Amino acid sequence: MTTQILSKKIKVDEFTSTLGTIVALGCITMLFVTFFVSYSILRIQFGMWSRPGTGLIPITIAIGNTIVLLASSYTYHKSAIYSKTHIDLAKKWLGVTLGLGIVFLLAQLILWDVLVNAGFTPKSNIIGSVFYLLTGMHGLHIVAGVGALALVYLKLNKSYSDGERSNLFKQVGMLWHFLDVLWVCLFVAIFII
Amino acid sequence: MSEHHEQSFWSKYIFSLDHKVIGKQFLWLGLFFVLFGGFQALLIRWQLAYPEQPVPWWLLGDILFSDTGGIIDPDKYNALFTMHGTIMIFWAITPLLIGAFGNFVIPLQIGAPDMAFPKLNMISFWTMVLASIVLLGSYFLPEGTAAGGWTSYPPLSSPVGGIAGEGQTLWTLALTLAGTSSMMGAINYIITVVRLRAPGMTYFKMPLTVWGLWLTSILNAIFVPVIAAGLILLLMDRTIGTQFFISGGLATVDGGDPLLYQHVFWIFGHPEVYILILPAWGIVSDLLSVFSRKPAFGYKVTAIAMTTVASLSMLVWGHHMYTTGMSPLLGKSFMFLTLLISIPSAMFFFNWLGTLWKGSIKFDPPMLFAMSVMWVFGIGGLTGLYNATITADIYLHDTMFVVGHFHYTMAASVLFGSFAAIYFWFPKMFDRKMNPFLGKLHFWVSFIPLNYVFFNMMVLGYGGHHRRIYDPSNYDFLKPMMWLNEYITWFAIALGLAQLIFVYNFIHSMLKGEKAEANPWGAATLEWTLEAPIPHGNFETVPTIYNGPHEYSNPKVKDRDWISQSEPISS
Repeated sequence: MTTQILSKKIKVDEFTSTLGTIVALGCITMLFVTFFVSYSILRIQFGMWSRPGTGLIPITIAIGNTIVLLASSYTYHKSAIYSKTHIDLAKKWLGVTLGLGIVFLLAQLILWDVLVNAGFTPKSNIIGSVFYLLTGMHGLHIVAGVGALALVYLKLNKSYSDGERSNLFKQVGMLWHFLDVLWVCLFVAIFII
Repeated sequence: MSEHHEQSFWSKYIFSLDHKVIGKQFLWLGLFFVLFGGFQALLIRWQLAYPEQPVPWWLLGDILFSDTGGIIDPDKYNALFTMHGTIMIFWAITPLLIGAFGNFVIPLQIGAPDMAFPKLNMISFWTMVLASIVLLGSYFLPEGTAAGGWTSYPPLSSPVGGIAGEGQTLWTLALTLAGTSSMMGAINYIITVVRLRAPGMTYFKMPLTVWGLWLTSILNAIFVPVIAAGLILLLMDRTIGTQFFISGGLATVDGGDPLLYQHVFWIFGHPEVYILILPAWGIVSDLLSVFSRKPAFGYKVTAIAMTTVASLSMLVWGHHMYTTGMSPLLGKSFMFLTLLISIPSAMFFFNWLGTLWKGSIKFDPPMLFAMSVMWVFGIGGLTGLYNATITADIYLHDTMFVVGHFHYTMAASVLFGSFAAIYFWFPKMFDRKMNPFLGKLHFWVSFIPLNYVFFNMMVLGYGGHHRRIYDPSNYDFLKPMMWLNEYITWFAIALGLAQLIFVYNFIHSMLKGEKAEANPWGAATLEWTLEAPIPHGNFETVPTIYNGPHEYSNPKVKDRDWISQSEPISS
């Protein structure tokens, strides 16, 4: 008897998970803080810094992508609210979020393609190196985020106790909103200043 | 009565979620790499004592260096000291103290059923295995493994003008993976300590071991991402042709900065020193108390002093870079902050002495190793003051003095701390006792050669011996000291042979050792209240904590000289 009682799954409560997510997001923050600090040092030393790409297309894609990610945060929020009452509506909104995440990634690839064709590559100069570093690393985290969203979507089909479902929604939501805010910082750092 | 929870071999021993099994897995990994890295050290020593003479057969000279007739050529020598440093720091002492004992001890000592996130814990270990495979895989490349030094400063580690081949690239990748594993471990440890302490286990009732490991995890979570960022930049330089760390004549485009890597490396690198030593400090603080049969002197002060050191360690990275031409004002600030660390360090050091003072000391093997940590860390700490002082460091920078210093602090202190931990927790891990006579023998034949080796390295360094030269006999001013190099090598070999006693004792005791009782040391912390074998889930009923972790020789306890943390003292 004893062994079985002892080895049953440890129930992780929502607060514990949330703290874990906060520490994990803290790690990602430190990663990007280092990237941003490196960027600013390289930029100050380089002197003549210019925005990546010329013309209307790159900045349009970047602005569009900012809107896409902000919208996806909103749709995720909607989905999280409906997950407590209407599962099919939650699924619908989550599907939209997932779609927006994929749209963002595709648009980033198009942006890269446009810039590479215009001769702006990671090797062309330090501006290019920094640009592809920041967008690439953020993109990789978005890939992970989309994976997490897909996981939530799949788990919505299963009968999940309410506590576990709201916990999952909360943790993945924190990641997704975090990546959204991170993109806004990136957008300002790369395309505005 | 006990209805066994059936688990297959795979889920029980390989992909286990039990923190105790994962701890042992890390222990095996760490012990393998300690021996691997130690063997490399002997080869380095051979070259320094007998430059360009064939390595003897008993150091596997004719197998390892068959194409050069047993002689270590300069490229292989570079690879040797690079991989010795990398492996010892990231693959040996990190898994030993943080991976093995962090996993095994934290939940048991705070009264938790397991880590907060057992799956993450398992993934952390297997990420480390993946990192090990990538690292060891680099040996099989035609160009050989990494050779840019354990710090891998650009341009040494740059694709142009540095180390050619994929070995250095794999090194960078392996280190990133090992860092990921550390981060996952850190998240787990931090949350476990914050959330899973048993009722009554306040922060100031936690054993100092847990304090040390917890502070280590916090530093890990903050600073491993920093080096990960630096390594990602380096990886991009090496694979897709960016030039973040390349400048001057080597660069084809402007804007790179090799010094940026040094800053990023040491912003992580200096906290890393404390990441490695803090668990050892915690373990030593606890063990001194157990084997002096006295409460730890100034328990709260020790905990706070360790926290202070952990905080200060974030602000001192520049003392590794005095010779890079940084602004004198900045240099002096770093010097001041570095010297400031000696205050909290001295506080807990005197607390250790206070613990020993008038104790009834039992010289069991764990105690011998714990006390030796005081000695080696004392020397390591005091010689650190020379390195921290700009005027002395300009001369001592990159000499064997630095090598001696950091081997005293990181290698000797952390390794002896690990040995203390292994001898101490072995009965709980494997339910058998280690042979105490062999333990004491192992201690003495390790302790004496170790001091000879590392102290004389500092003497060599003071004589101007650079830390990474291939053949010291090429330099006239080093020729008179060649005899010292030879002696160091023979003592290093003695130190290496001494570890065979440990290996024998470890394996023999694990298989055939005397059965251990639940609490062989009469220790007060929670793990010793559990009878072996400890089931997955640890505690049948969640313990309630009444006492501090060091209740020894309490006059209110009549029949014995200790009382467990979960037993109320009846007055």
